Amino acid sequence: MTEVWWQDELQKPAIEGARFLPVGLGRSYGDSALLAEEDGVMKSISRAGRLVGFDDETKVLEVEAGCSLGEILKWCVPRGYFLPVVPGTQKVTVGGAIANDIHGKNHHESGTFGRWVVSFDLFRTEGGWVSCSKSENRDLFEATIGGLGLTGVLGRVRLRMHALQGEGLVEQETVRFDSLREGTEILSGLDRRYPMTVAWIDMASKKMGRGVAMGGRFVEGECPRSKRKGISVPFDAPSCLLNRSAIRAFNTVYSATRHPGVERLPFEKYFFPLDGVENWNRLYGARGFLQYQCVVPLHAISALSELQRKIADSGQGAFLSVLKKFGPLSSPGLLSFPMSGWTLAMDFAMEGAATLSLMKKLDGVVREVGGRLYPAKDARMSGEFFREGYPQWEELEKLRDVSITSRFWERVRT
Amino acid sequence: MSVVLLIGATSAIGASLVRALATQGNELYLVGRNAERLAGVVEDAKLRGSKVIASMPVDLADLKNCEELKQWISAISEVEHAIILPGVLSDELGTLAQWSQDVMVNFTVPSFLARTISEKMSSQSEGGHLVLIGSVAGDRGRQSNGFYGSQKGALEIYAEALRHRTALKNCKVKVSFVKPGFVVSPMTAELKKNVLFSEPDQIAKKIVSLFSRGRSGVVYAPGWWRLIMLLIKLTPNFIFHRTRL
Repeated sequence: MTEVWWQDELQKPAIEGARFLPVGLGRSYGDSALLAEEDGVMKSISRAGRLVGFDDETKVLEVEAGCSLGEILKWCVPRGYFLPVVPGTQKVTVGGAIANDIHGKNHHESGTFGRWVVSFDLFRTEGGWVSCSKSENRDLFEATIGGLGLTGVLGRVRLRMHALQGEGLVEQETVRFDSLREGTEILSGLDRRYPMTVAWIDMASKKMGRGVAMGGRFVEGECPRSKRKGISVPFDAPSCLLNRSAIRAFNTVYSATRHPGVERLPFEKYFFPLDGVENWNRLYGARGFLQYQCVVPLHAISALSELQRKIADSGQGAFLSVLKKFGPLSSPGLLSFPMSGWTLAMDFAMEGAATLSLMKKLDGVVREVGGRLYPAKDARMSGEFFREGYPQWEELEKLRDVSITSRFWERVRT
Repeated sequence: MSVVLLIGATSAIGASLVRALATQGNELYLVGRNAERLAGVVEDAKLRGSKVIASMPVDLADLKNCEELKQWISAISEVEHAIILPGVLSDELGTLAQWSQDVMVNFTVPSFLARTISEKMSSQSEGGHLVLIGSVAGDRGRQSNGFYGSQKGALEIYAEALRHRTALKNCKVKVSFVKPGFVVSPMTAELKKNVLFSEPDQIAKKIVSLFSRGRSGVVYAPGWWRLIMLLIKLTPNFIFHRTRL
């Protein structure tokens, strides 16, 4: 891996013949940020993350793509601004946020990250620096958003920020539900009243389908600066730690400890709960875990029930599952994952063939209703399923940089 | 809020320092080699909260440039804190010309600038705090990077001399010498990373904390390198000479 400390280094000629892949902070779950070939080179951009400029009137922040969302928040929150879209962790780069066209709890009101990108500079092997926006090199602009780093290396990005109401304090309302169907109704209701919503759902224990829906909004009030010192999982836990019974037990206890009502918490705790446990993935042990995140159209609630049935039949519980309703706002990205509908994201401990076979069955359910999976989380979907879900993949392939490819792309494009 | 002079603002540790110092709202004077990169660092610092900044691109291998820098520093009304960072990793098998230039950048010019700055601080009523950056490599002559190490070792001795001189003239002037271990940076890009490597942010944090402590002396960054280097220094030759360290 080579680290890019300054953007002018990108002009240095690449190693003859070897292909590379620009990467950020490596939070993708599957192989979208892994090299396709042994002699390939990972170009890490996370060291080149300078702030370049900010326009108070247009609220446009210009920043180098290697800057993490956490760094931006450290800068913008005290100044009364917030990022328009944040995912579940602040440890991703702006480049990664664009490459995966990330979404967050506010998708139903604000859409994806790509909607808020005004323009960017892209470095391509053939041609060098290119300026991209809706009015300039629009094809590259749209291919790069959700384009998994395949079109080139992102340089400076211009992002439209949101004005922040308050100091970063979030008010959250929690509502319990006993079935998946009830959960979808409650989420729809919360969407009308809150700009940020999400539900945790039990996909492991005997009482599968129950869960907790949460609606949030920024409020005025003093925001306690969370000085929490995160904990770190120092090494892989034994594989038996998160076995089926432990997963079931966790979901039961988690459900029992979610109390309905309203509370106020600082934005770090609200948006990034897992950031407090560094290397949480090690809890799964050496065998690791697979995440399955799908989206199904709005009318296909029965598909969600079918997914739940298949999971229940398999006996494999998902350790952590999240349900959210996506809104109708479109993204400029060619390969953008969200569609107006329901998204379900689940972590399964990797049990080998059994887990892969379950996911294949889940694929069938999603495919039948015209849904798709999220490349940022995927490690095993078939090429056909991918190409079916993202018919514009061929446009991306035409615009792919000659020296860039990833293991994910080689796996799904053929 | 203080006036801070930073020489080496475009290095990895330098960039981390600028971020930390700008966020505190300090008034920064920045010097770095590459003019374009320095301009980028200045913009970033302004956005992060540094009110007044002046900057000057300087190549320490150029004598004329260094004289201009000396004038520029003298013109600053008051320097409360100063950090001298520059360093190049020497090629142990370099040519005489390369080695001469390395010594300029690693030892001669930093010492010259340190002298200029400490003289300036001695004439200031509130004194000041000067920080020089060395390396654990200067603690013992070792076959793997002896030439680099000796330049850093020499700088440590000069810092010691300066500490003595300023103690006589104005005890309000402090001289600190910081010795980082392995740091992830363009300088160590070719080296294989292991658990001993630190992040530039960690070193920057340590340097900034020296200003609030306000004491002269030698500091290892991170602190546990003191123990490692003590062991290295105490190892007798008949054992050490068998290693490839």
